[in-house]
Amino acid sequence: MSIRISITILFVVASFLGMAQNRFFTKNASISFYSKTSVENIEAINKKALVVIDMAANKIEFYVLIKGFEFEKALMQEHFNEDYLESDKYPKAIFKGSFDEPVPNINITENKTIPLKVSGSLTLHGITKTINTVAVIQVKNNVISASSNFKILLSDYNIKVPGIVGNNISKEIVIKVNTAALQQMK
Amino acid sequence: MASSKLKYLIVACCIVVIAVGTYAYKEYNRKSPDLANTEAVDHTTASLLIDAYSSNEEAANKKYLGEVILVKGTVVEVSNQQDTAFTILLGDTAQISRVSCTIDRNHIAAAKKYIPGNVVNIKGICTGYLMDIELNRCLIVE
Repeated sequence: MSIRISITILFVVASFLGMAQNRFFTKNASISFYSKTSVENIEAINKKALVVIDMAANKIEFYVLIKGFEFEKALMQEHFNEDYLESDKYPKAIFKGSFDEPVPNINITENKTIPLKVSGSLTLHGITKTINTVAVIQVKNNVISASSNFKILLSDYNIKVPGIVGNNISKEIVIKVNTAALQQMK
Repeated sequence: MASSKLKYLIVACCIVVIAVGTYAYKEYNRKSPDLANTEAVDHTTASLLIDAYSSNEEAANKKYLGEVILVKGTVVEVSNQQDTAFTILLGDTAQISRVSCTIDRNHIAAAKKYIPGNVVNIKGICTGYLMDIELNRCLIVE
């Protein structure tokens, strides 16, 4: 399964490279998540996510390695990998989606912020669920970037939190995606 | 006599509670260790690691995922993403994928002297394979 996923990643990028106009990517996107409860706030970030955006075909995809999420506290990171996300068994999270409306032509010299509705599917912990959100494409100082926030329920992805820390971890997790500078495929 | 035993019991209980509490507090707040003092479980080269992942990702994950490994390879690119993710890419021009080593913030200063073409040994934790094989919390081993 994981071999097929990586071949697919290379195929997706290679096929985009063959038709490069209006296609962008980065291997250094940040994906972070936040859990906020009255007991404590938990945050983790992965700065090496792969994001591919095909503005001509209205597609957006991201791929992220679960073991690449860094926590402030080592114990949280260990529980996250070993008990909750089972990252040895499910090493990647993948989002495949499309913009609900055509992406307008982008002039790199014109600063602009373009919010676009996105719908797609997020595969996490071996479970795929539909996500509807808004992605914001920003053009600023000749740099194109994209960002999006959305929420997921742990129960949707069969992520079980033991009762002893049940009040420490929110049932609803906020996920933030930020690509920083996207590179145009050549 | 009974009162004396009770006192000892209370003191012993207090010591146990303090010891358990101190351990729990330290464990809860423990940071991820610097890999400088961690032994690598495997030594390999960038080419071999890329071959292993591109030919059979599942088998490579069983061997390397989550493990501290030492990788020898040629620096292909050095990138510093807004000073937040200093990354050294190892590989060779014949392979599409690279070994992408995100340098631990405590070791960035030492890593900055390396440029493309240098051959280096980098220790880090393997987090898996997207377009590149990713290593986190890396440091250069002289």
